[in-house]
Amino acid sequence: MAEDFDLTTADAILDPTPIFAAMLQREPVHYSPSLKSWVIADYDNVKLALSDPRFSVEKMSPFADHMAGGADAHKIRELTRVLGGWMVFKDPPAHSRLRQVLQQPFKPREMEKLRPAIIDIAEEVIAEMAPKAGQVVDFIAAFANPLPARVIGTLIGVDVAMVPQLTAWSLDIAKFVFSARDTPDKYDRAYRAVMDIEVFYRQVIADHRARPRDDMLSHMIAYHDDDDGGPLTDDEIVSMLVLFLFAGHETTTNLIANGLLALLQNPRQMAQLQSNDALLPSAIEEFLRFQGPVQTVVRIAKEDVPMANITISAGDRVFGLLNASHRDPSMFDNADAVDIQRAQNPHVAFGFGIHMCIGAPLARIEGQEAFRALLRHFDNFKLETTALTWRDDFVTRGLETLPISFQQRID
Amino acid sequence: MTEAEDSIWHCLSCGHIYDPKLGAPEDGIPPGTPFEGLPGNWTCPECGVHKGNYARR
Repeated sequence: MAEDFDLTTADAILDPTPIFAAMLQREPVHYSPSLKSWVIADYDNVKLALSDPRFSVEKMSPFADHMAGGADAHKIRELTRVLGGWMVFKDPPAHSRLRQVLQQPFKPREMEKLRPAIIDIAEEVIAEMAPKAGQVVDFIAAFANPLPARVIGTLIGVDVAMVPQLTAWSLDIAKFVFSARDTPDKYDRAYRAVMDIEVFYRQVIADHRARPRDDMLSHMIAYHDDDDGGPLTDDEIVSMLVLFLFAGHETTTNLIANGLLALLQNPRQMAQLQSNDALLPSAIEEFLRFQGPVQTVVRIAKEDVPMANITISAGDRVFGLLNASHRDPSMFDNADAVDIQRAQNPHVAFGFGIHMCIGAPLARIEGQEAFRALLRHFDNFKLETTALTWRDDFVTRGLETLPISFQQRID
Repeated sequence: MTEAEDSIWHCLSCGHIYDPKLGAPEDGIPPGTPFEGLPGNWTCPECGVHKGNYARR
């Protein structure tokens, strides 16, 4: 049995890359006794775990069964009722039906139509941030968090005044889904958030049924496919709306904040990007690779799967470390360096295969416009801490805060 | 088309295939357009990644 590479220490949370390097060098596929799971770090096998149909994503029911009889059993049952409806936790054919509804509206050419609205939101958030020039501000609270929250609110047709509440619910759900280790009451908080958000969304759905409009929610309500189980039920729509908010918010916040941190730590590349916004598309891909918003994906083997020099048995759990795969030297030259002009960047930050993030086109547009606005309006960015605090959850890679200072650009 | 212009390219992000024989009619790109002939700001029609993240098959 392999040595147990420990990603839970304070040093590893601060910087997991030495552990990634050790895994990649010594044991890229290994069993972790402490996690009771296989852990995969190398690019080729992470990609296999992401896309091979021998791996299942249906892990909510096994979790609920495992917790049955415990003090939190009722809350977990309710959570799995709503969150278990997410297509990210469903295998085909149930997954295919749900994905089909959203495939067309989330396509790049459709999401491109949102770019003007996203630019407006970016400018709005910039205007709110501008008076803080010269002070130390938390970039996450000031920019990286509100921008995607407002974009998702626009997408699902929710009044902008509700966005802070939606953000709070999303964060509480995140504690449960991402297995936050530092939140002992995470089941309580996630349960209350899901119950409250369900009430809210049922009201929004009823309003959209009474007054259809040109937005994602009206599209979901109107969707009907005789070959595929007919219209979506309200339960299915609520599940999807919770997923949009959740999947489209914290992850994009992490992309923007982790990206700014990469630039702060590489000032020449910050200057290059500031002087040439044609580099934005490749820069966003590099931010996704270098410090991806999602660190780990979880799968359950449906049958025995030979991999490297071992066999993963049917029923075994597998953690695919996306961010370890992004440092695989067999795939990426100078993997530990940021290169916003990296020519080809086959990262798997959005996953791969049938569960690849349907929001990837939207996230890319948000990332590009976020940095375009930031670098057009502000300069002289400085990191105002020597002690970064990364959130202690296993699944995502994001900062608690990012203290910076900046100046308004005078051109 | 020359052999090089005939080349099929694939998206490194999602695996989408660009076949020059087919073009990309949904984007107004006619059949017979080699990958190099696509506009510089063309993006993958499936995942939205920029054109530079394609590789020749």
